[in-house]
This record gives sequence, C-alpha cells and structure tokens, in this order.
Amino acid sequence: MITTHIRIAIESLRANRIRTALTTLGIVIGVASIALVLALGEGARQSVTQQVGKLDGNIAIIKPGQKGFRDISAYNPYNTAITSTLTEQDYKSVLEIPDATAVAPLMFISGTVKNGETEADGAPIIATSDKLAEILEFKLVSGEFINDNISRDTVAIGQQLAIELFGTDQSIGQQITIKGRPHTIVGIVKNSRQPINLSGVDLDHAVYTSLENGKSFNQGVAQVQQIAVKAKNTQALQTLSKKIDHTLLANHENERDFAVLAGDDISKSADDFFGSILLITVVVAGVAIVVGGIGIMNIMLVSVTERTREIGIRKAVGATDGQIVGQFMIETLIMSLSGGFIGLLIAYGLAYLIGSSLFFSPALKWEIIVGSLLLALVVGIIFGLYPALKAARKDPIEALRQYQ
Amino acid sequence: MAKRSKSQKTDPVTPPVIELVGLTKQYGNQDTVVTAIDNLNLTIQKGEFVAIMGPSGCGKTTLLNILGLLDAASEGEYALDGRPVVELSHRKQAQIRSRQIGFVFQSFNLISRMNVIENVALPLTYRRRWRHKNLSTASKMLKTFELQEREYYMPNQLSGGQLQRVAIARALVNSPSIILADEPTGNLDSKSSDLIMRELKDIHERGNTIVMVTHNPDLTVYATRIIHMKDGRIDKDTAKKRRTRKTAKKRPMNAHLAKALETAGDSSS
Repeated sequence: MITTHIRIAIESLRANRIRTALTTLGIVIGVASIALVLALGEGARQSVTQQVGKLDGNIAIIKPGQKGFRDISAYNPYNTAITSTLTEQDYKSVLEIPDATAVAPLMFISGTVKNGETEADGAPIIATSDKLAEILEFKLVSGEFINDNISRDTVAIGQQLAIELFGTDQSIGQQITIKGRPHTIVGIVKNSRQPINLSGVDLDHAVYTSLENGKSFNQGVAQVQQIAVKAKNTQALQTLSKKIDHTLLANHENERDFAVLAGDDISKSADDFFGSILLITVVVAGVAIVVGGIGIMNIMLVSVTERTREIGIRKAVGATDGQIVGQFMIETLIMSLSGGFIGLLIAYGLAYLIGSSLFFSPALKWEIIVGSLLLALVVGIIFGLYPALKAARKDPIEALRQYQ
Repeated sequence: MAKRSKSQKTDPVTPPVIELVGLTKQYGNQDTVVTAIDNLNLTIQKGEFVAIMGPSGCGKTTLLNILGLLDAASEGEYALDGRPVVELSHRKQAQIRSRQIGFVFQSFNLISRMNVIENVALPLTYRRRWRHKNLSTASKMLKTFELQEREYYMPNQLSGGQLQRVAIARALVNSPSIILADEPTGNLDSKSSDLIMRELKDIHERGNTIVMVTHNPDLTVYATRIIHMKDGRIDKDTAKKRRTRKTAKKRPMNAHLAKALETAGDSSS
C-alpha cells in the first residue's frame, strides 16, 4: 500500500520534472544554508576551543572578578576601564609558589603606538615579563623577547604589527613611540595564527614591554589584568590552582574577587561567545527554509488544482480521504527529504571548500546531519498538510465534472 | 413491477440491492433551490439490468451519483444491501466504492498519466494487496476484453472504443456486485457501442446488477427494466420479459423494433 503510494508519487513528480526540481531547490537552499552555517560555526567553535585547549593543559589564568560571571563584555580583555582587583603583590605571591614553573603578569595599557606619523590601529600594549614567551610558546622571527637584562625602553612586537608599521618584519632596532615615548624594538614575535587564544588578545598585533615600563605609564602602579601561570604538567595543574587560590585569598583578606581558570574554564567564555553568534546566524538561515517550505506549499496547491479530476476518479474507484492525503503528503515528503539530503551534501561540499581557506575545518557531527534531515521532514509535513487536506476534501462529483 | 414482487416473494430474506424511499436531492439554497430528484421511490433487486432514460436535466446522473455514494441525498432514505447509507462513515463508503461498486463514465475518466494496466488496477491499489497480484488481476481482466496487447499503452494512444473497454475493465476488476454506467456508449460509434453493450450484457448474465443511464433507446434492448425519468421523478417504470442471450444476439433488430413499439407512446425520450 505505502509502496504503491510512493510509486504513484514518484511518477507524478517525474511527470513535472522541472517543477519538481525547482520546488526541491527551495528546500535544498534552505537546508544547505542552515547546515553550512552549523558546520562552519561548529567547526570554528571546536577549533577555538582546541586552540585554547592546547594551552590549557598545564596553564592557569588568574582573572579579576568572579568565576561565575560570564557575560560577553567580561570576555573583552581590552576593557581596561574596569579597575582590576589583581595587584602586583598578587603577581609576586604567585611567583613564590614553588610549583609554578613560569608566571607572567599581563597589564594592558591603553595608548597609541606610532612609527613617526604612522599609527597602528588598536594595537594592544601588554606590559609583562619574559616568562610570557615561555607560557604562550612564542617563536621569534628575529631578535629576543623583552627581559630584565636589557634597557626598560625596549619592546618586542608582533610580526603583523611590524609589517603594518614598517612594511617589513625586519625592523629590529627601529623606534616606535608609545604614548609619545620612544622605544626600541628588540624582537619580532612570529604570527601565532590563532585568532583567539588564552588571553583573548590579538597577539600578532601586540606590543610587549616590561612590567616596570608599563608601570611608568600608570603613575608607577601596576594594573594587572591577568596573571598566566604554567604548571609542570597537566596533573600538577589542579593542585597548583588550589594553591594559587589559597595564596590569593589570603592576599585579598578572604574576599573572592578573582578567579583562577584552568582547563575547560578558559575556553568556556569563548564557547559561550561563539554559541550566541551561531544561534543568530542559524535563525537568519532558517528564513531560507521557511521560504522553501512556502514554495512547496504553493506548488502542491497548484498540483492539487490541476489534478482535481484525477482525485475525483481515485475517489470514485474507492480511495478514502486518508489515502488521498497520503498520496499528496508522500509527494511533498519525497521533495522535502530529497531536498534536505541534497542540501546537506551541498552544505558539506561548500563547508570544506570554505574551510580550506580558513583556519579550521567544518565539523562533521551527526547531530547536524540528523537535525537537517529532520528539519526538512518537519517543513515537508507542515507545508504539505494543507494542500493534501484540500485534495482529500474535494467533492468527487465536482472533481469529475472538471474539464468535461 | 410483476417481476419485483415475484422475486420478493421467492426470496424474502435477501434485501433488495438498492432501495430508495422518498429520495430528494436539491442544489442551491433558499431562493435558488433546484430540485434534481424529487421524492423518488425505487427498488432494484439483485441481477436486474436497469436502463434509466429521460431528457437532459431530469436527474439521471444525480441519481446515479447518489447510488454510487459519490453524492448524498438531501432527504429520504437510501439503503444499499439493506443498510442505510447515512449510517456509513466516509471511510466505509469509500470501501464500498472500492469493493462493491463499479463505475463506467461517459468520458471514460482514465488517468492520462498512467498506462492501461495501471488504470485498470487502480481500484485494487486501494485495497491492501501486493502490486504484482493487482497487476495480474488487471491483466486477466484486460484479456477478457481482448486488450491484452494494449496493457502498456497510454490512454491517449487508444481509440474511443478501446478506452471505454479499459474503463469497463477497471469497473469490473474488483468484481463489484453493482455496475453503474453513465452513458457508457455516449461518445462511441455504433460498432464500438454494440461491442460495449454486449459486454455489459455478458456481465449482467453473470449475475451482476447494472444500472445504466442512456439517451439511446436502442440500448434499452439489453435491459430487463426501463425507467423513464422526468423532472426528478419516475415517469414510467417498465419491466421487460427476460430475453435469452441467443435471441438478443440473433435478432437485435427485431428486439429493437419490439422495444420501439413498446415505448411508442413515450416520445419525450
């Protein structure tokens, strides 16, 4: 019985090939756009989580504020307007913890970086210690990273920034000004190719200088926004972060106005951020599939009108209303499901094409595949039901009289 | 009339196949009411071959549609095999159409997208059976109509006579007990229509009930009972003596003449 319906449906769809193809195309585009956005978005999210995760194996980040506080603005590290609750004393206390292999403070300084009259757009200025290079595994194009043994008025800069300011990454010994004060470049940090990372800073555009120098921009006070700590290994990280927590709690007179993030905690805010962007794009892509569904409904209504006489004949020879509904529903579902399937293939084809020129590959998750097909099915049911019911409700007498 | 009362006497247990009491069908509403069938009473026994005649608009087709459960009466009762049809659900009615009733339309009403054998098998597809079984049943049916070589033709490749034979094959494929034919030869030349009529007669002789609407008095020669309708009522109801197949075949012209004499007074048809 059901196979007969499917056969009949395929026959009538084949009778109007172009129309069927165009109608299916609506669903193809809808499903393809949703699956594409999901595959790329999920891929991006996974890769960011991975990049952050690559570092988080043995790294803890201390940030001001509470651990549970997770709104998107809190993710913005440039937000230096908020006074940090971390102090230089905290940095020094952490330094003294024996298990901490490397400790680096991060102080973000707001100001412009210039080469003569050429201004670098939004280059973050980070006052830190030589340990940051170790923690974030920096590689140098040339020169050396800032350290305590050299003059205070020196900086290391990201490769991308060097190219922006000087047109070349061979700019060791050149002068730049930070807030009008001249500094000599001693090192160029190789591009990390990580758009988002541990500290949430665009490292390729950053200027690194010593904490002492940084303090001089801030009336001699260190405004420590983050402290990055490296443990011996992953196993040691848990105990280390507990120790840090303990030490800082003592420093802060038992007020928990800081957070020690380790492992998943670090990627959590990036995760949330991507999640909300993904949601918005999926909703926009969802409009396409609704349009596709309306297309199906439109064509099925035309088809029902065209085949009024056929419906009449079928009813006269004994088709029940339910069987007529079934026939038209199956036609709709064949179109929507095959559209969903083709859309999925196209989405992944495009996703890999686009992904190959980006920094990540699309995610091939079964949830996306099943979800897309399910979506196509639901759209088929919703938009196919009305035309099918309309067909079943046709009066056989009227239907047979058509075109007579 | 005599025949009816006789069969009722001999077989009182079996209810008549079709029984209409005070049947009325009206279209439109209030000011524009058109009465297609007006308080009509009719009983048809199993095995009758009824020809319904009458001028256009006298309600013949409407009556046939109601008998075939395609249309519902406005008033009055219709009992099919002793069961009032008003009690039947839509689903049940569709089931009866698929198992008990065979329709033959003047305009054939084949589905043009489907080939001959699929058209014939159509009523069977609405019963839960295997496709190949349906197709072999349809094939057998086509063979009895000498259309076995046309099985995979499309309807637009056949002549009118062939189309009507396909339509009749479709009407008979589910071995219905009642055949409802609405001017089955209306679009055909005399040779084809003669062929069709002989086939209907054959079917009748196998014990099926046939109700046929026609304009052509020549065709009533095959019927056992002739009903003339006028303005939605039965104007004249004539039972004929059962004629053997032999005489009908041998002397069709004489039969036609006899019939013509019989109905000489009724010029309205």
